[in-house]
Amino acid sequence: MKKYLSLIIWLICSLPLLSCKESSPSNDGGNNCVYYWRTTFSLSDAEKEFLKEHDVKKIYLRLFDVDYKYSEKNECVVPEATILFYDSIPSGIEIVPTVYITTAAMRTMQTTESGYAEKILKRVNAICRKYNIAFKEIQLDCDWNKSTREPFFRLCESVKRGIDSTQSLSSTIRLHQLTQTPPPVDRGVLMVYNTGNLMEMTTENSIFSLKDIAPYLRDDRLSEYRLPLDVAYPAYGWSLVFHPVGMSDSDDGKYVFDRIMRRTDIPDFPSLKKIGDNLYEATSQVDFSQGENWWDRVYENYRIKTERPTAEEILKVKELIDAQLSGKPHDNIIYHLDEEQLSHYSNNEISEIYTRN
Amino acid sequence: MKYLKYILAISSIAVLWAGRVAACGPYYPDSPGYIKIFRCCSPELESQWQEGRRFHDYEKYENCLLWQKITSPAIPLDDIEKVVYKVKLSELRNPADGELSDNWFAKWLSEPEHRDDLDYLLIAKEIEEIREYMNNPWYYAYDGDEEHVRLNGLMTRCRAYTGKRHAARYALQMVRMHFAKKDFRSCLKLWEESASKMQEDIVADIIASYVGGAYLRCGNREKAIELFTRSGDIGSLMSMKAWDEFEEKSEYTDMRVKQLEYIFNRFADSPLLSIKLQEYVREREKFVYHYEDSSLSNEERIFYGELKRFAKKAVASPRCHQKGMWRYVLGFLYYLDGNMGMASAYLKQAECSQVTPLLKESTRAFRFLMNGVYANNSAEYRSKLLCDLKWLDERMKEGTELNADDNWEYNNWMNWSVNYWQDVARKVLLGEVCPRMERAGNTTLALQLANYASNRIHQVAPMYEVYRYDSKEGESYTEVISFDDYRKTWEGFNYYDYSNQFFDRIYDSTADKAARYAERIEHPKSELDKYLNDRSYADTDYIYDIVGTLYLREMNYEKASHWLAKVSTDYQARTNIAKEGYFKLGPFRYQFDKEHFIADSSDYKLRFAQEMVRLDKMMHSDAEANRKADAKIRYGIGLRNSFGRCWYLTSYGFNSGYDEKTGDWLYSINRESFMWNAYARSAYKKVDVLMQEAVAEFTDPEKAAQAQLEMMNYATLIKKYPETKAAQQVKSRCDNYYDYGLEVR
Repeated sequence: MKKYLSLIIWLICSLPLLSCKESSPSNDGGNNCVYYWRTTFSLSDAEKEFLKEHDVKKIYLRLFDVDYKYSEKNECVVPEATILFYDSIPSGIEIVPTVYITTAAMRTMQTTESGYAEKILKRVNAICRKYNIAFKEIQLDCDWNKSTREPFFRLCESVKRGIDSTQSLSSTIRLHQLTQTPPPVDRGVLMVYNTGNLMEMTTENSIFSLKDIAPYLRDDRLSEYRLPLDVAYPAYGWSLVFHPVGMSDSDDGKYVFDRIMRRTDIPDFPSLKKIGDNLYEATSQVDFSQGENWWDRVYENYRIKTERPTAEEILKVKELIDAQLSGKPHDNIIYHLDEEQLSHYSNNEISEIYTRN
Repeated sequence: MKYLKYILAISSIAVLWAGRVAACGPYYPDSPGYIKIFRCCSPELESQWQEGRRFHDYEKYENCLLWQKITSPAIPLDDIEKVVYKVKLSELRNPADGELSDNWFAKWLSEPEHRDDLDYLLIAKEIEEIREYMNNPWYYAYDGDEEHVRLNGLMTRCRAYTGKRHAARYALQMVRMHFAKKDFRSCLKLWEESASKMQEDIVADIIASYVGGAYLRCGNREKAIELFTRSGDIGSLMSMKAWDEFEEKSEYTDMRVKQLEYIFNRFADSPLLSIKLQEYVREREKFVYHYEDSSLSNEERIFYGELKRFAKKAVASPRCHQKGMWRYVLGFLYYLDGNMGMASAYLKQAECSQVTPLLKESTRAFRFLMNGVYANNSAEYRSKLLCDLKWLDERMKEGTELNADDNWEYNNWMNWSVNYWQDVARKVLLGEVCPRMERAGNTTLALQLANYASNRIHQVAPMYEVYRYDSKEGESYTEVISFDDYRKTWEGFNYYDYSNQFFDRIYDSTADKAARYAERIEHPKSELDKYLNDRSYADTDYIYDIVGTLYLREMNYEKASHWLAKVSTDYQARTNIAKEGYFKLGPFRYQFDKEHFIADSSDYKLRFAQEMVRLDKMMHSDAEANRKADAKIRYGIGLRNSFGRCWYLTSYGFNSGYDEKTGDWLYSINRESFMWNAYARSAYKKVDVLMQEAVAEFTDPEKAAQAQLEMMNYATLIKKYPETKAAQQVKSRCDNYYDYGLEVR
């Protein structure tokens, strides 16, 4: 009996632990986080509820982009699309100011990276001072490649020198960057989205596709990667518009990428005929905003591809990633906080994405 | 079906050729009638207005004068301008050193008794640096930011100033700081309490202008207009559409004239008037082509009528101190209307008026234009023309500012506007004088002047911007090279020499006229000849090649040989045609393929001309009938090729398509080729006659059959000479041969 008693006690103690794995996934060395990637900061009730429900500890908040803008007289590398605050920051949530840097800007700031590091930091500090945001971490997001790697790394080094000892620097890591030396930052966020070429109509799903992601994860790359990683998963969808070329006979049947549309309610339009799994063709002109915006329409023969990863697909990839990161505490981040986008996923699905094994 | 194939084959070749050969030029220059030369304000003034709606140069000048007044008349204004407007705060901290060591104003400031003046300038520079940063997109304002804190400190220092010498200047700095912080109420307070009582000068004007802006932002439009008017800030008055209240009272209907009236009534001598007038007259120049103004809409007709009416009123006004400008405007508008009597009268008045140096030169250019309108081939006019050219040439030399490496204007292969004085040369000489000289029978002078107008600028500013492509990097980039290199060593095409107005004119001329011009280059007869030869692109290789080619076009092979013999092989190798890889086809072959490319392309045109001369002699003098007939066939093939596959013997550019009028397929239908087409038609007729004669003259059936074989007249060959070796050859390989007779072209 004594033997059984100890087993019963063990079971009683273990049960709550097993059950809280689903509902409270953040107590195993990592946090639930989210990106905020809009140009205005205001949270709807549903978004506030999302933060509470999933115990989100950290918001990666995009403050501004750094882009190249041609100017004869003035500076060419400039901040763009600075966020406007219409809401206060919710208490108890850590904010990570995030700056997106275009590759064109990166190329242009070569050899003057330290000056730009200073400017970026000064501006981040100014925005945070104005809105009372105390931050411990700052993140740089850049799709650097071989030609922009060196300047980006120099920029990171300069930013690191500019922050104080209590602060850290992180950067996003795209899948194609995994094969290269990690940037000189304290942590990286592995971006597991935007994995395919959105310009190609034949791409199965440019946001997220196991087929595209798997090759990047071979050879146990993540466990070998010389930088602590957190992981960002997508929870968004979009529609991609393609227009027919048709200028000559040889162009027949060719489609060219036209634009991205936020809306994905394409099946609701009778003039958009389904011709593939997620592909639609316009049988006549469709005016999405009913005449308000001339550009918000598609014409006969235009094609629209809808893309939105399912939770099931995300979880399959997550399994691969978690296997490589086991034993390494990491945050799971969802891209991005947007009521409409998140409404396509159930609370359970989101919880599963946040879960760490 | 056979014909269809033929047409398709020729069409596809022609299309391919057209694409390739079009690159050789010519590119058609704008008609000189469209060149705009009216000018009553400087480009600097125009750009100051366009950029900031302020006349900074005027403000700078007046402010420097004030500084000179309170310091020393011995200090040059340039030195003051450098210290006040150009040097940075860090440089001014040690005014006697470094960059400023030889600056008299800096030396004066570094003397201990002038510390008060230096202090003011240091504060002003610091404020300016902060303001500049605050206008930078990287700046993000928040309460208590570094810039605000620094401005507050500087504000305290400005307020603490109790002296009189710089009271207005400190007030100006305070106003600027309030503006930077968007504290408009404090601006108004400062104005009402002290600044409005200050002595009127440029500093007080600038303050008033800021305060006007503050009033406007606080909603007091009336007071804003008052202050903008007081400060002469016409830019702000225009921006706020201050003439709205004034508009209804005006006697004019066109808004642009109402605006001019508004400006004139307040600031009769405002530089803005010259900017606006230049814009309007240049707009009018656009509509003119040989004095036909049919494209002018009724609305525009009313506008220009009212503009003239208002200009006359301005001239008559005692408040107007720019009468010369208004008279120049009136004269030019009448010229554009084709009313030369009125144009001359106003020009004369403008010449007698007091005007700025810029306007004086513009008026002189207008005189040159009016002289051109009355150009004739008299000795008297030619003498006047030489005087005009000497004056123009000096201007072209002085006015050329095409030295910057990145000046896109060097890339002039489309004959765009490069320089004002070259525009004057082109407008007057090409638009007015050359056609008149041509009509008067002096083509040589017309060509000399066209050459001067097109090429003189490249002697004065001998640079050209070329495109290069780096195949390793996969990027194209531009580079400025010397014009001499462009003509002689540049591996790409020389667009300019085969597209400018001179080329256009000589190419449209006859060979004899071109030859007379070439002779005048060798043997100038007058001072005018010498003057123009020295200032033109009189490279004899270039000119002789054109003359020789024109003779080839006219089928005058003796004369063509004479001129082409003088063209160096070096020149031949650097022509666009040679660079493009032509000069490879043997011009006497009926059929072409790679196997028959000629090995030596040197003297291609000359050799062709000489062979045509030899064949011509044989055709007329050989006693043996078969050789004579052979010569005719060879001559016919050469003649046909020189207007067909070997078009570059008679032309510099090539295109193809259907003639819209006749529906005929033509090798060349573009503008430059009317004459070429006429010669081509006559050449084809001659070829037909020669071939028929030759066929009839053969006495040896084998030779006659061989000729038919070479001409690909297979059906005729088999029908007429069935027993010959040539006929046997065709019969044995009938699948490969079609009867593409010469008559099917």
